[in-house]
This record gives sequence, C-alpha cells and structure tokens, in this order.
Amino acid sequence: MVKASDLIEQGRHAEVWQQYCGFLDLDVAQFMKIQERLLLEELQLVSKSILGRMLMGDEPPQTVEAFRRQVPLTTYDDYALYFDEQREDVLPEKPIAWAHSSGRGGRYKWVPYGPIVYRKLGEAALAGFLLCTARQRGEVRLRKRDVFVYNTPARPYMSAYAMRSMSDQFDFTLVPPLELAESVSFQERIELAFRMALRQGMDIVGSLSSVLLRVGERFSHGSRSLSLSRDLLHPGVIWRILRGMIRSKLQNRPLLPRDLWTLKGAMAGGTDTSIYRPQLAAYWGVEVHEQYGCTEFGIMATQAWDRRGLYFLPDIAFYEFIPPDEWERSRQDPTYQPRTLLLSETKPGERYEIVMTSLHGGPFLRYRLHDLVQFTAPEERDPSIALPSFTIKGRTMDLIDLAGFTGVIDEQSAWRALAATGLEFAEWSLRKEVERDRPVLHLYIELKAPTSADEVHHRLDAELRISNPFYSDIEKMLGYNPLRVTVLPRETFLHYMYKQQAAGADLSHLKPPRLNASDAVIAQLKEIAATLA
Amino acid sequence: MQSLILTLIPALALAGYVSLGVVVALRGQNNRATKAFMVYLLMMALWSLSALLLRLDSARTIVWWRVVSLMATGFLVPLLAFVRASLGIERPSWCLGVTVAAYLLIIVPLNLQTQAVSSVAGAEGGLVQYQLGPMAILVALYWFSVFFTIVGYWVAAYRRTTDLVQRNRIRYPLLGLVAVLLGLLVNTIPKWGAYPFDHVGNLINAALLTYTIARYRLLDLTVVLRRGLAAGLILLVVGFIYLFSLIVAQALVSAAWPGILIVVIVLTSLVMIAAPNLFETAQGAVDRLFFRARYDARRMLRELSAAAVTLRPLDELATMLLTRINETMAVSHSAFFIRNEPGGPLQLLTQVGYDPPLPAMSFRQDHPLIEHLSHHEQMLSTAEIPRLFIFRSLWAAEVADLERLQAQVYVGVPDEGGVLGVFVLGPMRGQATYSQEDYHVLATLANQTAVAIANARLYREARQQAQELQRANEELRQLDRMKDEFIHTISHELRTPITFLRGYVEALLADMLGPLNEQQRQALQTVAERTESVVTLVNDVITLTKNADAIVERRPIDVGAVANACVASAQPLAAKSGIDLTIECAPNLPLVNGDAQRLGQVFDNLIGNAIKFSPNGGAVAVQIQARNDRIVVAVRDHGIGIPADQLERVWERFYQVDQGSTRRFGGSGLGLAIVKRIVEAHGGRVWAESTLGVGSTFFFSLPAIKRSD
Repeated sequence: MVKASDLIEQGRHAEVWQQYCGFLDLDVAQFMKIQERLLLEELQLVSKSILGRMLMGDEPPQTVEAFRRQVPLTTYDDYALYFDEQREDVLPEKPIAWAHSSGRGGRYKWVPYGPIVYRKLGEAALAGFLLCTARQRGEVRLRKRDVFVYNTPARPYMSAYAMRSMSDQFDFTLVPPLELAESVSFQERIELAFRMALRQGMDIVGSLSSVLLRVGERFSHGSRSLSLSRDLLHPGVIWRILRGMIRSKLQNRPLLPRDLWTLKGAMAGGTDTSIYRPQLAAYWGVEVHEQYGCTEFGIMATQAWDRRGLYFLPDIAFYEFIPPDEWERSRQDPTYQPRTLLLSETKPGERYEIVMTSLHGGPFLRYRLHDLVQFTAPEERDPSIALPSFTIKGRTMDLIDLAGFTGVIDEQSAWRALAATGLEFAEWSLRKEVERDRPVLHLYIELKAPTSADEVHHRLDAELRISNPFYSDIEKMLGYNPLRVTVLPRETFLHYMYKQQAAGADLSHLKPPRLNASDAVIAQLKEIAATLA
Repeated sequence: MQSLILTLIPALALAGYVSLGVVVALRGQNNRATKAFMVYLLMMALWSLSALLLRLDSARTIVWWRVVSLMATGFLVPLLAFVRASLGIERPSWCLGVTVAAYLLIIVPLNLQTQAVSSVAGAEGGLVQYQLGPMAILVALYWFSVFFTIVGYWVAAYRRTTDLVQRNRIRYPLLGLVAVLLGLLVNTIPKWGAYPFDHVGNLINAALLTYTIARYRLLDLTVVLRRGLAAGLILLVVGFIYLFSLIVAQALVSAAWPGILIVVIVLTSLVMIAAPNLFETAQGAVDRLFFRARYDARRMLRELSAAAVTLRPLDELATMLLTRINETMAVSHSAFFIRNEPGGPLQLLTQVGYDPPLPAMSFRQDHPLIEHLSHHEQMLSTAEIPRLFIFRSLWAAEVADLERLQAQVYVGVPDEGGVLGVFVLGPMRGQATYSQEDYHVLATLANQTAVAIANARLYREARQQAQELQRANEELRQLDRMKDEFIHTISHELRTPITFLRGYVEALLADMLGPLNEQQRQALQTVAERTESVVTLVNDVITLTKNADAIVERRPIDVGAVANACVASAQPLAAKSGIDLTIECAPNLPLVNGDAQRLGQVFDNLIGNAIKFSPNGGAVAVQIQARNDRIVVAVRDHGIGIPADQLERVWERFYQVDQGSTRRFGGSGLGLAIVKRIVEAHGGRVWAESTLGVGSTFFFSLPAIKRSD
C-alpha cells in the first residue's frame, strides 16, 4: 500500500484527505451504515472465540437489535480473568501486540491489538494529524518528513503503538526517534524532544497540554531559563534562537515557543486542554487539536479543522450511549442494565455515558468506559459537517456527588472554576470528605504565589457559584458552606511524584488524581506537606 | 520546398500549442498547476510564432530572434512551476523564486543584449545564421540547471508511484521535454544550427502533450480535444475546397470578389448537400486515426447490441460479452456477477482470463460496492475505493475477495433502484488505462446488458412455464388415459356378470325355471328394467372410453333412414308424454360413411333428451339437411333451455346444467358426451343453441360422401 506521505508528494492531496478525513463528509445515515455493517462482521468474528461464547452464548446475535438486546454491558473486570494473563487462546485472532493502560486502582488493564486494529490506530492518528494541520476542509498541509516533536509514553502504552502504526503510513521525521524515545524516562523524553527540535525544527508538536503549558510558561517567564549546552552552539540552533529573539523583540514581549518554531499544528491531550486552549495558542502560535481515545479502542474521535467539537470515527468502534437517567439509575443499582441509544438517536445538549464495542475482531463487547460525553448544538459546529459533534465531560466515576446531588462537580468544571480565580497554582486535588457527619468538598492545592486558604476559599467559592448551578444551590440545601481548602507548601506534589517514582509507580500514577483521591493519597500528601512546612 | 518545410514546422507547432491553450483555457481547473501550464503553453506558442515570423518577416530578424531566445530559455520557468504544483512539491520554497529571479535579472538582459548571441542574420532558403556570444555558457548553465531540476522531479515522482496513469502522465511530457532538449542541442552544432531542429522538438513535444491529455487525462480534456480534432479535420477539408474553388473562380470569373464568393457559396452548398453527415464522418475518421480503441469499441457495441437482444442463456451471454470486452479493450481478465433473486447477493456467474480461476464468490446486498454502484455512480475505478469512506465498512474477507478479483473497473448493470449485475474488469494490457471514452462504452454496454438479462430472464421464465404446463398437461393426459383404461376394464368386468344376471332374469320371467307368482314377477320385472339400465350405462361408458376406430365401423349409410327409424321407435314415448315428435328430412341427401348403429344411438340420445326436457304437450322436431358437403342434423325442443355460459359444457361427461335435473329427469349424464364422442369419431362436430324458457336445439354435422367418391 502506498504511504500517505508518498501520495502527498505526488500531489494527490485530495485522495489523502478523502482516505483519512472523508468521514467528515458522511451523514448520520451513512455513518450508521458503516457502524452496523462492521458490527455484523465483528459478531461473526467474535462468536467463534471462547470470549465471544462467554459473552454472547452459543447462539450469537445476528442483528444489531438482537446484539443490543442479548449482550449485557461489560467492564474490564469481565475480561480481566483472561487479559491479565494475556491469554491469546480466548481471542478471535492472534494479537500482534498487547498494550496496557492503568485502571484507577493502579491495576494494569491489558488490551490485545490485532493487525487491523493496529493499522486503524495509525489511520485514526493520521486523520487527527491531517485535521490538526488543516485550516479548512480539504486542506492538506502535512508533508513528507515533516518534523513531529512528541513526548508520548513508550510501549506498551497505546499512544506509542499509535505512533508506530502511523509511521507505517506516513514518513514523519520523529523527534526524538522512536527507539531513542523509548529508551529514556518521560521527563528526559520531554527535554530531549525540545532540545532536538531547536536543531531540527518543529512542524507539529504532540504532548499533554500541561507539558505544552509548562514549556510555554518557562519561556514567558524569561528565556534565560534556556540552559546553555553544547547543543545550543550549533549554527542552526543559534540562527533559530536569534530569529526568535528578533521576532519577540519586534513584538515587544518575551520569547515564546511560537518565535522559535512556526508550527503547522499542535496535538494536545488531557482534560485540561479546553481550559488552557487560549493560553496554549498564545504560546505556540496555533490552536491545539484534540483527539479522544483510550487503550481499549484506540483513537475514537477527533476534532475537525475548526477545532471545536469532537467527531466519532465510524470504523473504530460501535458506539452506544446511555442516557442520563439510565446511567444515574445504574449508578445507584449496579445490577441494573441501562438502556442505550445509537448515535443517530442522541440529542444535542444531552450528556451520555458512552458504551463501545470493538470492531475488526477486537475483543470488547458493549464495554463501559465510564466516560461522559455531551453532544453540542448544531450551531456550534461547522455547518458543512453533518455528523454530531461532542465534548468530553469527564468520567461518571469522577463526579463528586455531594449530599445526593449527582454530578455536582466534575473535573473540568472544578478546573475551569480554579482557572477563573486567577490564582497561580501548581497542582490540586479535590474530593468529598465527611466532617462531623456532614459531607464537604475539600480542595488540596499547591500555589505558586503565597495566598491564604481563606482567600482561595473566597475566590473559588465565588467562581463555583457562578459557573455551577448545582453548587450555588447547595449551601441553601445543606445549611452550611461545604467548601474546605487546604493550601499545601510549594513542591508538595513534586515530592509526591518523586516518592511515587522511587516506588516504581506507573506513569499515570505519578501524580495524585484530581478528583476523589483515596485516603492513602491524601495522607501521603499531608505527610509530605508536614515535612516541607 | 525547403522553405515551405521550414515554415510549416513552426506553424504546426504553433497550431498545436494554440489548440492546447484553448482547450486548457476552456476546460482546465482554476488551480496553480493549470495556470502554470497555461503560461508554459503560451511561451511555447510564442516561441513557435516568433520562429515562424523569423522566416516570414526577414526585415525584423533580430527582433524575432530575441523573442525566440527569450522563450526558449524562459519556457522552463512555468514548466517548473507546473511540475512542482502538480506533484505537490513545496520544498525548497525558494527554488521557484530563485529561478524566476535569475531569469528576469540575468537571462533576459543577456538575451536582449549581444551577450548570449552575438549576431543573427537571415541566410539562403529561409535559414537563419547566428553566432554565440561570450555569455552563452551562462545561459546554457541556467537552462540545464532548470531542465535537470524538472527532469529530477519527474523521475523521482515516476519512481515513487506505482499508479500506471500517474506514470504515463509523467512519461510522455518527459519525453517531450527530452525532444525539445535534443532539438536545441542539435541546433548548437554549427553545421545544422541553421535548421529548425528546435522546432521539430517543439512539434514532438506538442504532439506528446496532446497524446497525454487525450489518453491519460493529464488535465481531463479528452472530450474537448476529440471534438477539436474533428472540427479541425472539417476545417482542413473545407479549406482545401475553398482553395480549389479559388483557383476555379480565378480561372472562370477573373478573380472578381463577388464571383469568388458565389463560387464558394455554391461549392459549400454542394458539399453540404452531398455530405450531410460530414461531421459524423469526420468524427469517425478521427476516431479511427487517433482513438482506435474507441472506434473498435463502437463496433463492439454494435455487435454486442445485436447479440444482447437475441435470446440465449445468461451464462452464455455473459461469457460472450466478457470475451468480446477482453479482446476489444485488451483487458487481461474479467468476471460477471449477477443477482439471482430480489434482495439476494450477487453471485459470480462467469469469468474469462483468470489464472488460476476465481473460486465461487459473491457480493452481499449491503456490500459497499453494490451500494455505490446502485446509488451513486454506475462505474467505479479501483483507485477510487480508498477515497470513498463508505468502503471502510468492508469486512476483512470482502477486502480479500476484492484483492483476488484484481479489478481495475467495476461497472454496474442497472436495475430498478439498484444493480442486477456487475462487470469486473481487470487492467488493460500494455499498461494502458481506461479512458473517459472507455467508461462511456462500458456504461452503454452495461445498459444494454440489463435489457439482455431482462430478455433472457423473461425467456427463461416463459420457457420454464411452458415446460411446466406441458408436463402438467402430459400428466393430466396420462391420468385421463389411466382412468379410461380403468373404467373400460371395470365396465368389461361388469358386463359379464350382468349378462348372466339378465339371462337368468329373462329365463325366470319366461317361466323357464318354474312358474312365478305375480309378486315375484313384478319384482323380477323391476330387476330386469334396472339391469337394462346398468347394461346401457356400462355400454355407454365403454363407448366413451374406446378409441374412435373401435367405436365406428364405416360403411355408406343413409342418415335420413337412420333418423326415420329412430323417430319411429321414439314415437310411443313421445305420445306417452303428449309430445309432438316430427321429422323433416331434405330430399336426396348424400350418404355418410359411418356406423348406422352408432348414429342411431346418437339420434336416440338426442331425441330422448328432447322428449325428456320438453313439457307435456310440447313439440320435438328433427331436421336433416345437406349443407356444403355435410349433413347437418338439428333436434329442436321447447324445453326450459340452457344458460348460454353452460352451452359448451353440456357435452362433458356427467355434466348436468342443473344438479337437480338428475333427480327430476333421471339419466346418467353421459348421453350428450356419447353423442359428441360418436359424432367426432365420424369426423363430425356437435354444437347447441338455446334460449332460456324457449327451448334448445342440438346440432351435429357429418361429412357427406361426395357424389364422385
């Protein structure tokens, strides 16, 4: 198969666009047709396997309706027995790789990738890159050997496999090279990537929003923080820095990443992306592009050229949606099997919990990711796209449920309120605690500038009242203000991370969770804070 | 002659570039590549024009020479832009800017002065002599660097791509460019420098570009080009006629303008009258010369149309179509899929040229290919498939099937709201690709195939139905024969015991076995009557089941005599019912070749029926006439009559007009059937006429013996 980069080199831009981004030309009916057809193939493939028989019985469903009626919703626990041991004999086909992610309890979730699923990982990633660099429909700005600077985790994380699969389909100049990137730690990878980018340039950057933000902040707080090294003496680097400095001086502002690199696009991940979007655009000169993915299914959705809502890719997974009343009921009664809707049945403005089924012989059937998505109103998306778009609203498990008010606070709304306070903070963690038999909302925060806990309380309380209608009512309902704030000393979170690193914790567990951290985590934070105080 | 050739070469090159320019301007897309290509064509045209003027306008040799040299060095700039734009090359971004700047700042000034070429002069025979200047080497250096940059881009792109169309789109313009280079190089040889080899190269370049556009849709301009060439041919013919008429006019009208005009009008009118299909003829000629494949395809279509309307089995028809397509369009292999039932899959019906042969395979009804051919386009090139997102719903097994088919084009055979068949065509031999014209041909063919399939299906269904009917008929006939045989056998078996029964009853009644008392006699009398009825019934059944030859013994008989005897014997019965039974027999009736006893049975049955169904005091008349070598007998009654819709059925066995009539009037329901059987055994026919409440007339006719017989 001809690589997309070669097609672009031959001037066949329209072909490449159609091949990877053509799904944005589909209407909902066409989208559903692809979904249903691939689901029928999946049922055929999976029904022959031990796993398929276990989940669907000896008489597998033959239609989409029967499938939704017959097969129960599943979670990783339903597969853990086989997947924790990486049992290949239970699968529909022999996988070419096993990826892992981490469950919330720190337990790995192992996921097999068959050859087609692996290829689709790359296709979806590349679709994101094409859209990330496009400014309008059909515009293909990617070029062969474009420099892609990244610091995604190493194998066996899904993003590393996606990178490799994408490299099979497009010749990027990867900075750092894949092998080198996998041989160093996460922190080293970040430094190495940007150092190399000074010399090799950067067309696209892909990273966590927090990393991009941190890099931007380092620049904005003074380019003197660039430590001198032999690498910087390269003529190319000197020219780049000089040119950047001139640019920044001409605009009478500090040196920013955008002065050093003229990016075609920036790919960012993390729930905080939407909050820091304007700031990131100011630092990097381009609006960051988001994709939605997970280890189990790969990359399932991407933003379009307008970089507003996300759009599902039709050939990655079969999508179902649990309406709010149903997921609420299933939260209260875990044995309840909630009813689901198809994409064509969803309504703009509604929040749904997403349920997905693997395609192309993948193993997961009606799998609950516990992610909440909200479909956007048609006027909020590009009118030329007929598919519904959505935003991620967090996880059903990450909602803080205070005094019976479901979903009073989610991570994004907490983050948004914190950002609106104007406080400069390093990290934070928010959870529900019980204080003298009364539920309270406790924020543990590390600030960059000294501010009293009362001040933080005052500002955050005000912002939450403005941004969150549930919160604004809660004091009246409870008869007391439920917000508590603990300001932790500087570097508390950093020390926590060091401790975790030393204990050999997984990448995703280096930092405390932002919502609903366990007692053990909070205890550890308090212990570190005590030593630093 | 030499001068003419020297003029003709740049003139032809000019015509070529101008034509291409017009075509591109009319149909080209509004993108960078097309714009650059237009500028390139313009510069090439200027080059040819100035070369032409160099020969025709000797007073301004130096001016035209400068234009020639400017264009010869400058045409590479837009060509470079075209190549970069069409191949999507953006890096290095300075490349084009530097080339343009170098041309404007260095090459143009050098050309305008005497630095590149020091002197130019017209020579004998229209040739031009020139001397290279001191900076000619710099110009050459520039020219070659741009030239090899372009060649480098093309060669790299050629090596990268495996797409045959793309390769050919590069191959021919590249060859054209090499021709231009060779022409220029030959011109630098002092001995040949005066000759227009550069324009020969230009001409070849124009021809190759034309070919690339026409054959490989370089800018998708085939249709315009085809039409343009046809119009050009007409222009040539009319031009020739015009010149000819000019000469004639000069001779005849002493070159007076009105005279020339009249002659031209007359001649053109004559041409129009003599050749009304001039354009079509010219188009055919163009197709034969330049578009051979299309010409052959036309012929193929004609042949296939004829074949398609003939009634032949589907697989035979499909194989014939595939074989002809493969031969005519040089297709390496092809296959045909057909839907055998509504909503069902399309199954492989036949294949030609596959090695190894394809296994049995099918396309599901919801296969994206079928969906696409049904609802979007009738034709789909394999190269399009990755671009159509709906094909992402292909199953892995379906992807493998498509790969196994090694198709280049799929053509749907249209049906009401979908496709009923799909032609799968492999690549053309010799790395050729399907042109727009091929698509038109295939679409027409597919449409005709739809008609042919419908015909074949109708024919097959009709044949099947006819066969089924024949089979059912045969079965019925067989059953009828078996039934007749059975009844015949039973009747025969019954006759023997009845004969015994009748014999003993008669013996008893004749007191041969002892005297009977009155009660016994009456009982036996009843048994005798009933036995007689059974004997009659059995005899009737046997008559009906016997074949014609067994029924009648033919000898010349007088039907009138038979009728009179029957009427006479029926008179007592008629009298008993108060019915007036009469007979009217025409004199000199011809004889009939028949069986008097059987015909008597016919008369007995008809007269008996007429008496039976006539009311008391009614009348029954028997009429016998000769009509057209036939004896026609009518037995008329004044009974209750028979409904018109049942008149035909009264001749059937056991048929009673009114089921209650059996009870009312008695009888087995075989009488008229026997009449019909006996009459038909004589070569005659029966019919009836009736009016409800008025009465009925039963007719039969018998062939009379001709007097001469």
